[in-house]
Amino acid sequence: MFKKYIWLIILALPGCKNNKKETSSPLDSELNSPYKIEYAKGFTVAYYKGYKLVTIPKAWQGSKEKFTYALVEKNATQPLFGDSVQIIETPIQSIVCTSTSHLPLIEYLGELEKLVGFPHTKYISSSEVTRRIDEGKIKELGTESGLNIEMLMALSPDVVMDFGYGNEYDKYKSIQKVGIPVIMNADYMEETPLGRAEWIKFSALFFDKEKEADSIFNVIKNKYNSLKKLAADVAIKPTVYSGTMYGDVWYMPGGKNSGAIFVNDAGGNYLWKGDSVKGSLQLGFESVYEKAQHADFWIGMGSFNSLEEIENTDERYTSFDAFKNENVYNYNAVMGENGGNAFLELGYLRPDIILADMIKILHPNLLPQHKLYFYKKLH
Amino acid sequence: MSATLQTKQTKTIIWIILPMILFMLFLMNISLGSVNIPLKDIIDVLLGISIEKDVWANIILQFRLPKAMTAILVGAGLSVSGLLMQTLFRNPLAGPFVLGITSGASLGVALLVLATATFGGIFTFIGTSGNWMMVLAASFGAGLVLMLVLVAATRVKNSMTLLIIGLMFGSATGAIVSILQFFSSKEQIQSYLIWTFGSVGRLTWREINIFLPIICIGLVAAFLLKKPLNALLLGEDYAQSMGVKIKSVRFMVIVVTSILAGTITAFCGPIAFIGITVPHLCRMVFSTSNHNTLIIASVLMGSIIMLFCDIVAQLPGSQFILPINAVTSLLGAPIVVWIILRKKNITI
Repeated sequence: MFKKYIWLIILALPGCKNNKKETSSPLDSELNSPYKIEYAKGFTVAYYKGYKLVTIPKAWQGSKEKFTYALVEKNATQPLFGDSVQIIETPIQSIVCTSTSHLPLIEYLGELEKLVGFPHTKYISSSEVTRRIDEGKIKELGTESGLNIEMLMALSPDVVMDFGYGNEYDKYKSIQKVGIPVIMNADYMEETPLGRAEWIKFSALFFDKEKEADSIFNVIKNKYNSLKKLAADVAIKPTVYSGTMYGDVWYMPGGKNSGAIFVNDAGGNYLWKGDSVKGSLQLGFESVYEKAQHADFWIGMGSFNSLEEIENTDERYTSFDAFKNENVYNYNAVMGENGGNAFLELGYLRPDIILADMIKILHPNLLPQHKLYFYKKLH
Repeated sequence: MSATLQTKQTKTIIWIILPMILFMLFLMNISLGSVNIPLKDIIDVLLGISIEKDVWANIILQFRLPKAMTAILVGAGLSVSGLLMQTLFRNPLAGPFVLGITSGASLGVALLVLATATFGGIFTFIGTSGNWMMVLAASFGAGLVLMLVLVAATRVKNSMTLLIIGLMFGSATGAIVSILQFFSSKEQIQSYLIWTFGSVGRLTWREINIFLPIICIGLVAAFLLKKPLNALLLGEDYAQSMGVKIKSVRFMVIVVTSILAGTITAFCGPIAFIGITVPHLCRMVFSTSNHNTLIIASVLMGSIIMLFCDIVAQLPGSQFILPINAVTSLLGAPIVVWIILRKKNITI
């Protein structure tokens, strides 16, 4: 008889039910941390005893879900987290990245030996990373359509740092399906150059290297701001246009594009600065010609290497004054062996260098010592 | 008697009106664009009087004028080659591209733009985006297909067979291009895709210096073929019995079509529908199938339609533009349907 009721008794005992809470226990209070995020809007971090909670509110345009990561110290007691929280033990010991812009965030922290794989390695410009690839320490994980999931599984990294656009080509779901934690990097959503560079603080959270990230970012931030101040009081602002043509359409970076921001911060007058587009405007050739025929500088034109190449591609480019006066500068001065552009890799972490380059182009007398790094003059 | 005079009168009126429309559209084409330029300034520039804003003068002389000229040549060339194809194959749906010439040109461009991923080496040394390189690559591809078609042409008895062979060449080259696309980067694919949208605005005077003579030679050659073409309308056997050398006529027609369609595709990318639609419009307007009339009519009508499509594509007044292929297709498809419905059928 007792046997019949024993199950009832066991079920009635408290604690046998699975208590799923949405976030950490209400008894955890947030610790005061000196780690402050000033410019980046794409992630937040809160410190608790034994773990940190990192939230990505908007991983892509129009995202309706946020990503939350609980970074737990090794051997610390974990509170129970909700299903939607990805638990990651820190410091991580191995990582796979999926964008070249992620690489400086790892290299500058000195954690490069933890990078074990990367898709489409030929786009990488960093010589150090390329060396490690040649030595076989970083595996090529790319396929025509994206990431080789099988090879990724064989590599079995602690985390994959990925990004997404919120469409059917996002690969993070298939990575999660095979049981590998994915951390979404939404640095491309940032609207300011410093905001984008501050993501080194994001990547540092996973390696427990917040102190290093803080000092690195402070150097970058101070350099950028002092350069900006230097160029703020110039009397004359040279006019600038940018972009290239595909067919009959001129792709002109919009007013909120980082290209436009750099020109304006460097004491230049970007001719389309009034616009509010973050990407590129698609303009007819005539509109561009009318506005920019007499502009002082043409800065930033894809992968062109010489004025002759530009002229051979489309003779219409040569009708602009900036071309005739050879005031043409492009951002492909530093390239990897296989065509990877450092501007699209290291450039995102070093807006201070880009700004210095821009000031050197527009107001060379302000920075007599500086040598152009990412940019080069085309001849 | 009066009926014939009536038709003659109508025809004369049409012959006067069409060039007038052409001239008007030419002016309109030069006057309209993303940038608003007052008519007075436009006329001043065309007459050689200097105006205040040299930007506007440059826009008109360096960009709009060559563009209008290109549009006229493209419209004329494609219409005439479409007419030739429709006559040779006695097929109302034939156009300048049935022989696979455009597919050949596309293959040439695809090899240039896309193949760096697959083959690397020699193609990277050539460089991917020189305009002249594109033209050469497209001409090379078109020429290759042309040679294959000519070889086939000398071996088949029936022109219908040639049509099918041409379509198959088109499919084959299309398949190769798909494979190249599969292995390409997104920038390369975008570059190639933009080429397929077609563009009449890219030619500068330097290129027109080569484009113009070639098209003119092609048009004159087509005109010289008017007698054999008329004979072909009666059927190849009948024409042969009238002394027409079928094989050489076929050869000439194919060569002229390829020169016209191939050159246009090489310089401007593939431009759809004009070649099919305009000959039918001409047949309808002039109520004739006589090539004496139709060839010149196609030149006029084709230029008019192309200028009109270009005006629409410029979306005058706005900063944005449409690809020319979209406009010609949107215009061409309804016209063909309308013609069919109106006449209950279309004949050659």
